[in-house]
Amino acid sequence: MRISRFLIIILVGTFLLAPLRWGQAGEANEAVYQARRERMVETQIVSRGITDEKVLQAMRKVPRHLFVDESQRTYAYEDRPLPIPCGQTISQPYIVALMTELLELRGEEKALEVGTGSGYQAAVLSEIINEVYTIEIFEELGVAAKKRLSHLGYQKVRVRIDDGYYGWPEKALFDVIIVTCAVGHIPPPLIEQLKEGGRMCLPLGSPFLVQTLMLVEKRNGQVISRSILPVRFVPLLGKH
Amino acid sequence: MLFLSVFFISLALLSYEIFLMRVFSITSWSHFAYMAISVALLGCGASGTFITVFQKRLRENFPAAFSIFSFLFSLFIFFSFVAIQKIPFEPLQIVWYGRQYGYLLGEYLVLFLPFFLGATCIGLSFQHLPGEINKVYFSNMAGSGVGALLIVLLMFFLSPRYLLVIIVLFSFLATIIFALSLKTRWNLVIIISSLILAILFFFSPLEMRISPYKSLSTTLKLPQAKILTQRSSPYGLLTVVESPAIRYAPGLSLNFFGELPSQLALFIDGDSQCAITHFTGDLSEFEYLDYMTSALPYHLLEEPRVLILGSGGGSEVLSALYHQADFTEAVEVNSQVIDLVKKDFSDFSGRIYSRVDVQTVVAEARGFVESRTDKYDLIQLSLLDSFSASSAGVYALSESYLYTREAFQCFLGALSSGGVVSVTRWIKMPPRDGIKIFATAVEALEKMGVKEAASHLIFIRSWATSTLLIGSSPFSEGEIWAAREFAGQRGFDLIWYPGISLRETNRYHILPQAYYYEACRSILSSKREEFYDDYLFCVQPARDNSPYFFCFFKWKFLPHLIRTMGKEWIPFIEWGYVVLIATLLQASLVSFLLILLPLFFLRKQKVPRVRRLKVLLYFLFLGIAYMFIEMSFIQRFILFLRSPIYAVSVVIFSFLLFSGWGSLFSRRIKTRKLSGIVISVVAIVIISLVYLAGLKTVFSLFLSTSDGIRIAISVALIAPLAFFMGIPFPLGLTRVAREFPSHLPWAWGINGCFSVIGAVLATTLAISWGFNLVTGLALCLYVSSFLVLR
Repeated sequence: MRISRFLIIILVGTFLLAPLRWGQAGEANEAVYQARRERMVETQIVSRGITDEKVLQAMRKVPRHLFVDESQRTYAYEDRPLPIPCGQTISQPYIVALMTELLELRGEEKALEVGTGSGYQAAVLSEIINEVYTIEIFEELGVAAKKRLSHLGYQKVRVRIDDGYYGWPEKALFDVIIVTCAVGHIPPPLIEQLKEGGRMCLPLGSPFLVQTLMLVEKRNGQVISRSILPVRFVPLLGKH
Repeated sequence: MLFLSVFFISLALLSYEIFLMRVFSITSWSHFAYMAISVALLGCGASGTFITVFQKRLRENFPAAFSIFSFLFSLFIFFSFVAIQKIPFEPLQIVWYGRQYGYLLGEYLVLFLPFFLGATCIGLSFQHLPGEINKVYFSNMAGSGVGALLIVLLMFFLSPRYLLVIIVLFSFLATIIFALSLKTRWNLVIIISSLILAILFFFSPLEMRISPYKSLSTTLKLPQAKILTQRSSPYGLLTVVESPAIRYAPGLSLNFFGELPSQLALFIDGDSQCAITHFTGDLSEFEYLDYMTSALPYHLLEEPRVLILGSGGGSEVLSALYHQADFTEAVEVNSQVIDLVKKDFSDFSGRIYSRVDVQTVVAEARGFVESRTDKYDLIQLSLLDSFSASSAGVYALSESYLYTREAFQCFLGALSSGGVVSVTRWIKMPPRDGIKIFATAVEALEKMGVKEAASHLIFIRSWATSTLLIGSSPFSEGEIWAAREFAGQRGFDLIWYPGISLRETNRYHILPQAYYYEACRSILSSKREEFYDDYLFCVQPARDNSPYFFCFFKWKFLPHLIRTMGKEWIPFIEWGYVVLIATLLQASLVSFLLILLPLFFLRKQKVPRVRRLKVLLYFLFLGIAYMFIEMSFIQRFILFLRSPIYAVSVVIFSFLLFSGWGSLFSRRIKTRKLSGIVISVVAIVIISLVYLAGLKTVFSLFLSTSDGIRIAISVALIAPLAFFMGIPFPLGLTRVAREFPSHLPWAWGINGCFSVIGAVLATTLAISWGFNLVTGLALCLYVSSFLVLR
């Protein structure tokens, strides 16, 4: 009899105290993730030459682990791309930072992202600028990203589920455009919606393996692009 | 009955191997299939180890053992396929996620089982009938040969799901045939169970799990995406997908602001994508085609007679029509692609393949050009591989006779005066394909006696593609001006034209350095060999003897890459080649264990160590040599038979079948002074050397004959060589059975292991040194095998 009473007390106590414990665990977890983010920025981003303080701050702030499936959270701050549904990925933290830095954001730009994915890149952009428009063609991803961004307080990000090929004509022109779902060609409407002096950035390669970043600039009506290698590339032709 | 049963087990085993290669090409990428199936094939070697260890018990209970193993073999053919579809192995994630190695191991184990079980049945038969080894081997080889041919033929008519059921039925047939010869009550149980399971399997729903990272998988998630039709053949699984979000215009100029017509996506094995474009009859809708680098030749030629190699869904044909080509011949190796455009989607495609000014030809491109005497103003090599697969280097192991120096000579020879060969490739960073194409063109021109190769070349690039024009004669001032105009208006960069300067390059899509231009200058200079040697990737032209254009990997730069790039070298690695080396290493390691393990159990047998070593070397040499010659001959016959599929099936079938005949007659091939082994080795060496010297001449005599005649000639040429190659193995095995029978399964296992290693090693060596060396080594191994057993 005594034993059963003792068990009941333990059980009730556990139920009563559990939320408190979980809350503490959540806070502890957040502290752990914050520490991981700091480490990620120092070891993966700063060490590779990213210096734009606005980008670094954004990378320190956005909780990357909340943009992936629970099973991926352990890896969220590691130096790797992460799988998300629909055969898509979130780029490595360094690639996200490099792309953002390449856009040379000052704070007052209007940005369009084609390929919302998990919403992580849009969240990073919205830490720096006020107007972020993002389009996702896969409904499954778009719905989840919209919910996630709203839940995390990224109200400045406007998400639309649509074919990003045609951009967002109602909100054009854009100072910067990021196309995270690079295809064999760059949609002409996106180039049209890029403001004079604007910048567009695309990662090229296969899923999980970004090889090059492409930066497109509109200058004096002319469209110029350049290949940016995310790695130190050893000179090949020096001897000849 | 046992021989017939061995025949059907062998048939099922080889069919299953080829079937798995096909399935993996669809669900994943073929080079990883290569890796998994190589390990699975070591099941044959493992069967030797297994029989050695349990030989007494297995010998005493042969009927029961054979029945059980053949029954389990049938079961596991089916279940291993089902299990493979459940294992979430993703090759693209292997770099980042350690658990993928676990999944890969799971695939190995699951695939290993049916091969182990099937091979155990064959090994048991050798042990059971030591006096009739030649007949067992005949059944084994003949069954394998028929299996190789049958499965390829069936692939033209049946989808993978039904192919699996057919293979399972053959394996159950083997079980039932053997059970009929048994005089126990168990035979009825086995027969009834086999029949019931065969029926159950026939009606089981089977699904293939295609990687979510293949283009088809992601396209199917697009809005309103649906599969319109699917066709299956040994050339691949064709899938036509409809969605308003499908648009295909590789490397389109950033200066194009028009609309793209609606398109259907056509996938081959769920990846390589091309488009079937909607054509209403109004050619002005195809202005976008004039904004791609591949349109350049049309600005230099007037109403050209065009030959398109690899016409796919018809984009290049549309481009030819848009640019007012006089006549267009479209060559496509896969007849089903032509059928789709011509019949199933004739209305959508505007019947482009049925026009009077367009002629379609189903043929392998290189063989087609070699067999023709017609001249063309423009020969276009289309861009048919996907960018993502190409950039990951997954084609590194794919042979291609379109991009070799000899191929370019052949294409240049088919040009009219003033004609142009146009080659378009994806741009990769660091640059590879384009530079290798340029080097190939330069060397081809030089080989044809052109002194100023530089004046025959115009090379441009967009942000995604590069196009090289190779002229049969030097480009004129007018043509150079037209090319500069074309490039300038579209924002394409000039890489090379006769008289170009550095400041004209790298202006629109700016690379960190003018890599392409500088590479072209080096190739055209006296320091070409130094450049090839120093460049980060292998850009030396591919040759027919080593037709691996897509292999850019260089061993000597691997430490340098790792040192300078750290983990970031990973995206730049040529995965196909890395997988090949990994396959070779793992096959060698597993074989080493499988061969050593039985020695522990055989230690009490009083066989001198030297004799054991001789057995090991004899079967090791034979295993490797047989595969070396077979692989070399597949390559040699690809061009003659004008189709890799014909070559693989005809060569493998002929080799196995005639080797089986050789085995059957092996005891009769001897003289008073010379043993069968000596005669066969001498014959193999002589025939191979004659073929090395004269096969090209024979091929050129019959190149323009019909498919049937060329297949018959191929079989006739292979027959004598294969006949003699089938003799040393059964004679050696008979000798082992006579002198120390306990070592018979060990010898069988050694041969199995080294056959696998031989196949992988042949490709590895051919990539670096070519197939002539592989054949030469095979002959040395045959001679060594004879010397070892003397």
